[in-house]
Amino acid sequence: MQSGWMRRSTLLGFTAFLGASCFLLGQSAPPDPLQQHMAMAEQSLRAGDLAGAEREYREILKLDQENSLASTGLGILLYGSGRTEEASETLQRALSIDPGAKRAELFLGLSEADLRECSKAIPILSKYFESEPTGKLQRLTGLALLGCDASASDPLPTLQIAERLKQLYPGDPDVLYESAELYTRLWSESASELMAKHPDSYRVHQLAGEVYEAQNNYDQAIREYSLALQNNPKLPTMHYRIGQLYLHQGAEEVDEKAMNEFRQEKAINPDSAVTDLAMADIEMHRHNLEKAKPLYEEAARLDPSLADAGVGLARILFEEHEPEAAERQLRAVVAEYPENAEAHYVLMLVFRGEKKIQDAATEMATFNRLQTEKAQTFQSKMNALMNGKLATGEALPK
Amino acid sequence: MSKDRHVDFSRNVHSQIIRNRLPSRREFFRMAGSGLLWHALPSTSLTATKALGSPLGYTLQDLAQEAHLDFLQVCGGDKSKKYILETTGSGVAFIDYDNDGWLDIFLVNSSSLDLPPSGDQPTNKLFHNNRDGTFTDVTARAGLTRSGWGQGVCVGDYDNDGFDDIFVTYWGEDLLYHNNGDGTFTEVGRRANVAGDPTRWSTGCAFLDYDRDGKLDLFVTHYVNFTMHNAIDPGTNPYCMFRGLAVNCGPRGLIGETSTLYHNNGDGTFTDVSAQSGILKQSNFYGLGVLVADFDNDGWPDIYMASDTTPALLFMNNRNGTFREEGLLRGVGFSVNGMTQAGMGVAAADYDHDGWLDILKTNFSDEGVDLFHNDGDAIFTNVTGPAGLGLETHLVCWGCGFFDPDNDGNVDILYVSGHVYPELQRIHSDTSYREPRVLYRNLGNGRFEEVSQLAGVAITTPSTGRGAAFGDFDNDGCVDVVINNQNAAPSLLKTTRQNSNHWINIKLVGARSNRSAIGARVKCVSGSLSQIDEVRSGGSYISQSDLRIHFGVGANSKIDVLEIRWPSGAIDHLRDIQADQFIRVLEGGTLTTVHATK
Repeated sequence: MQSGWMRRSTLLGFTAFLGASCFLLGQSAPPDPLQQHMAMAEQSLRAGDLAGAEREYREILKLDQENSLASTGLGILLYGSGRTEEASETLQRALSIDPGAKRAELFLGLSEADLRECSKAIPILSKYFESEPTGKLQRLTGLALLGCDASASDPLPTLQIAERLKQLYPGDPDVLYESAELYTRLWSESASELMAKHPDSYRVHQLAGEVYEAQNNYDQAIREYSLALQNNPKLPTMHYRIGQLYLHQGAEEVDEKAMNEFRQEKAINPDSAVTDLAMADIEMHRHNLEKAKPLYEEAARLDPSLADAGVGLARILFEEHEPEAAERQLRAVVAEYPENAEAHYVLMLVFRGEKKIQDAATEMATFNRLQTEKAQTFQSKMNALMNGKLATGEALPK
Repeated sequence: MSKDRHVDFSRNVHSQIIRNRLPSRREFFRMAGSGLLWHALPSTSLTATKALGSPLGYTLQDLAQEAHLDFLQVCGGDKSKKYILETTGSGVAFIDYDNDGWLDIFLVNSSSLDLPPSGDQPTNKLFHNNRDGTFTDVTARAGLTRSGWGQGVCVGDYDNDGFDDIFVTYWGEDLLYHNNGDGTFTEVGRRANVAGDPTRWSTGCAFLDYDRDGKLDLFVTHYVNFTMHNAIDPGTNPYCMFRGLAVNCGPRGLIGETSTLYHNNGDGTFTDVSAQSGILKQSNFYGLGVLVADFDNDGWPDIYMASDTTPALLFMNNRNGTFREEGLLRGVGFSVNGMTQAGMGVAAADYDHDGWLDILKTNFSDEGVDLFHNDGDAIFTNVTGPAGLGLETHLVCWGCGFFDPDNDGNVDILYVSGHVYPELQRIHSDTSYREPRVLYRNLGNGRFEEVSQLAGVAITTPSTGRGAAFGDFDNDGCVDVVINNQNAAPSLLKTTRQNSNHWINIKLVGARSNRSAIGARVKCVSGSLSQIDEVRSGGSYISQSDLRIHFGVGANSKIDVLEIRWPSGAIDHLRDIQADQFIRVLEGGTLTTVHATK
């Protein structure tokens, strides 16, 4: 259901249509009470006095029950004020008088969507989502379509609408929200079906593990991943994730427990670059450079996009008193990933060690910039969460 | 998988998915979770072993109760903590306030949001050393009874009257206790212009003579802009959650702070010179531990400051009354990976005898501690891994120090730990609120070995450590440790020698320099062993260690040369000094034997 403010916001923009309609009507109609009410309805709409406009439309309908324009106007106003059942009845009446009243049909579709009469709403909304020009009304139509699709057996059209909306209204918070709703619903339906149809499968445990992991419930996540492995010992990424969870837990002897999992992961998933990287980081942490080095190299070989492997390798080279090799390695990383703060930091240390103070200062400035941006991004998110404002004090887009 | 378990699981997860759309959004949770602290701790399954016949060459025993340190630190709730204000605990000081040659103990207390406004309030306490291993509470007699949200403490004789004064930081106005020399103190914070803004939260502090004019100045850092008006309740946003528990918020997301530098006017008052000295250029950080030392050996004190989740800062002294911040370039601002850390405590020592002071910094869990080796001229390399200090990464670490309990001439490391979320005790978790201390032995080759288990229950018993100070309270030639545990009684770790290593303990008294000799650099050469240290105010986690300098000298029964570089610039050389004694050196080279070991 569309929120009231969204409806009102769109409606206020749409009053131009109603006003213009009234004006046109006034031009062709004789100066009688009907015309006077139409003029007053127009004035009320322009003044934003929706209650006044509603009153005038009702007066018109008292005088002329078959006035399609007044019914349409009243129906739209009722929809805007959240009285959707009444709006639906009024708009249906407008359509029965004039089957070609497009606005009446469109707002009838919107009203039906609000009433969860989606089988009635979807054909109308789909038609007008395609035909309406880009703007508030098309956006509202698309959002209603997304929200209305709960019972649709085929999600493909709805997914296409979501993608189309994101193209047409990039960054629009309502579009993003409704898209999130849609994807969540699809995820939920699939997960429920999985649990219902394959309750004993390893996939159920894998899924449960992911849920627990996302909720930072590490113990339960490890338990579920382990159960998944019991059912399917060759399931890739499970040992890796268990190892990572051990590291996040930070328990005693965590390194060895994690390493054990990573070794098992490599045994069943030899191409896992991130597993090599994780093992390399542990060896680096233990200062076993001779063990860390081939692991970083292997991680970089398996997945050249793993910048962290390149940085790790550079750190080892630097510790092994090979600053030039470390510098080459890091230059390659920052050329490919200029936003990698860690690479700039280590490169700064390497330059400092080589007494290249100017170069070190440049890297330090870059590192500082990236750190500042990161802090600002964090602060923006915090502010958005706390008070709906970005770090700069700017309000979030409505 | 059993059927029963499957049924339970299905119900739990399915109901989460169906009942509430928001919690079922994996990506939302991933995003939220990624911002949370991935901090975890193990169940405290460390097996305590008694340190009888310790292979360490000494034993450690917690004798706080026997010593009559009747004190309960109060800092918010012990079962839950609503605000970050309740998590930082308090510092502790070793101070010889009556100049009798025996260390007394000053414990800072905090408060609780649940206390009734009237009635008994927790107060700071001063314990006088009875010279028999026990202490007497002299707080009231000394005029030090004070309640409030006490934080840190540092000591120095700011008016050069021969008696060390006490500065105490607060969430609220800070206090400067002038030592009257008769066993009493007078609070002069406002009169001296160092009380600060009553709405600010001060933490670490240190007296230092940054302009070497013979008068002690004062550095104070601040944590976060926190008031009960802007306080955020636990669980208010995803950054106030830990392991699914709603926990106190911050410091991330709260408004950061700056530091304050007060210049001593020489008339009992100070002037805030934060802006003109350059200290104020750095802002929006969460300052905690403060460490003052001459890191580049230029004779001028520099300032290092641990900062919670923001870069640590290193203010290098420009020798003209100003400072420049160079923590990043000098390699002490970030982790080895360039990540910010939640820095808490700080300590300095030349652990490898190369003539340059190195830095130890404690951090939050998952971050371990940092050992920054001074490669010369205050260019540091993070050697935590190579030095063998990367083993314990699961503890939230606070007070710390280098000390030489076995007097072998190689300083060891001790730090205390304790989580900030007591709520963890309520769930079955491998993360606990109370945590063990950690002890590392210096192997003399640039590496350290963890010996916590060998040290026994005084180290391995889980607690809630915050402030920690180091000093030889019983004058037996071994450095002891006093710890201010949050929401608990303090610990007094007495070190008892079990080897025949020798030592020297030096009390410096300035003449042209400040009387406390804070900032004086001592070089101790005995045989092939050459060590340095400085008289230091502040340090550790917002605490104050013994202002006397202690060197273990191993098998050497005499000190060949003691070189003292005073803050005034004067240098004294003393030669052929018998080891195993407490000496007092007046600027100019006059040496007095205070007493030999008992």
